[in-house]
Amino acid sequence: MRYFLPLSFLLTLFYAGLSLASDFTVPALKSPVNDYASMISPDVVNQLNASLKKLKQQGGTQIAVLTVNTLSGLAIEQASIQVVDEWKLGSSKKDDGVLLIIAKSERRMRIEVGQGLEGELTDALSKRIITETMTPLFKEGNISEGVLLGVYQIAKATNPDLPVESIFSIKSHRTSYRTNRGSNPIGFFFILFIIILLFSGRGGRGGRGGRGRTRDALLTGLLLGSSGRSTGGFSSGGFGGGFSGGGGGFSGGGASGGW
Amino acid sequence: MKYAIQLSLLVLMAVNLGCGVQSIPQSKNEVEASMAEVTNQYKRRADLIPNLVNTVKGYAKHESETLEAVVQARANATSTNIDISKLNADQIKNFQAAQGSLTQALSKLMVVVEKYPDLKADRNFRELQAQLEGTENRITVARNRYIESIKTFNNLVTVPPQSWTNSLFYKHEKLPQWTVDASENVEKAPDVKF
Repeated sequence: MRYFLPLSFLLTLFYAGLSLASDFTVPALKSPVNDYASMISPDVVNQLNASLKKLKQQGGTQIAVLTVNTLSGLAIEQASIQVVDEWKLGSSKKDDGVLLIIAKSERRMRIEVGQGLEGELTDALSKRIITETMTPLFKEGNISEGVLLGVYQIAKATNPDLPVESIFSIKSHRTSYRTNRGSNPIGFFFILFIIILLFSGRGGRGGRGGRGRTRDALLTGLLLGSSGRSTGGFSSGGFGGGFSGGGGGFSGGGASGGW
Repeated sequence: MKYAIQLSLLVLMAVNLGCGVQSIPQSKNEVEASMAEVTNQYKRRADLIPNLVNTVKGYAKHESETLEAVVQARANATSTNIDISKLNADQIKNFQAAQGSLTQALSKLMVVVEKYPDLKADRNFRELQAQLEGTENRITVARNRYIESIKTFNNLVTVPPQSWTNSLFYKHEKLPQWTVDASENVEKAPDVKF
């Protein structure tokens, strides 16, 4: 009897807490890129999945991307820490995980940095990646390019000892796709090749128009400027179990922004 | 004889997982570690302030009052320490009050800063602002984890069957929970008057 009251009180608190909790549920970590809000073009998703997996296999940091339709009233910082607490990106020894979370309806994004990387990817640098690289591209509607370049810069900052350019199949560091538009004949032929590939392979399919896809491939091609293998041959379904979190810890470092 | 009974009980309970013999001390350590993280992050914020104040000074010479308030609040906050091994409600309250008034002074400064476009464009200031934002977020995360760890500990020492182990062997008291009081509520939204 002595314990009955406190116990019932605590249970009440517990259930009250459950019912008050936000609707935001942490989605499953399926692959490096978890595009639940369908904001990123399939080509970029495949490219990033391949690169980020390769990066991790070579002993680099574990970087994941998550897009959600809504945060269900949570601040992006709160949602983000919930996600990383569950995904546990990075190894438990090095705490070397990074999450890029993007909320579609709130138009907010955040780079959540693992404890072990706060020295390389500082809050200030995270903020710069968001405000100087991603936000301008997002505002133009180029979400895919923004994500690709943002993730690339995150990878570059957190893996100073790895050949990040070759892992991402990027020949030279570019901060904007525009600076290279039309200046690279190899890139041009590569794009032509991709266009032909797209039209011959998938052109007959209806639904989501071929023009949008081609344009995406075009921009991606310019962005990558090198061999086409990275955009083909990988399917997003082929990563069974290869990208689970390793127990990395997060303490709230990073930066947020909007567009 | 009484000792023998206690000992045999201990063995019996140790065999039985989830009795609290292990989890109660573990949970207490967890509380101490998470409190250390909270104070650590507050210290991190305090360390940022001198740089921030100097940068703002360069552009906003007419805001000496606001800056002085920040410097004062920082001095007060850094001198109010917390003894992790002997947590009590009063200590936590004082600590919270000191950090709360620093939070308040800082948010006032950040409102004032809006009047100085040159300052807002300053690269150094923007970096510091990003760091400050990041640190405020770290404080929130550390505080939430601390609150969570206290909840776990208090559940262990008050909810059976683990609480029986506690009343038999450890005799820990419930720990005071971290409450967000009035001085800290201010940090949410500083009033902007036109």
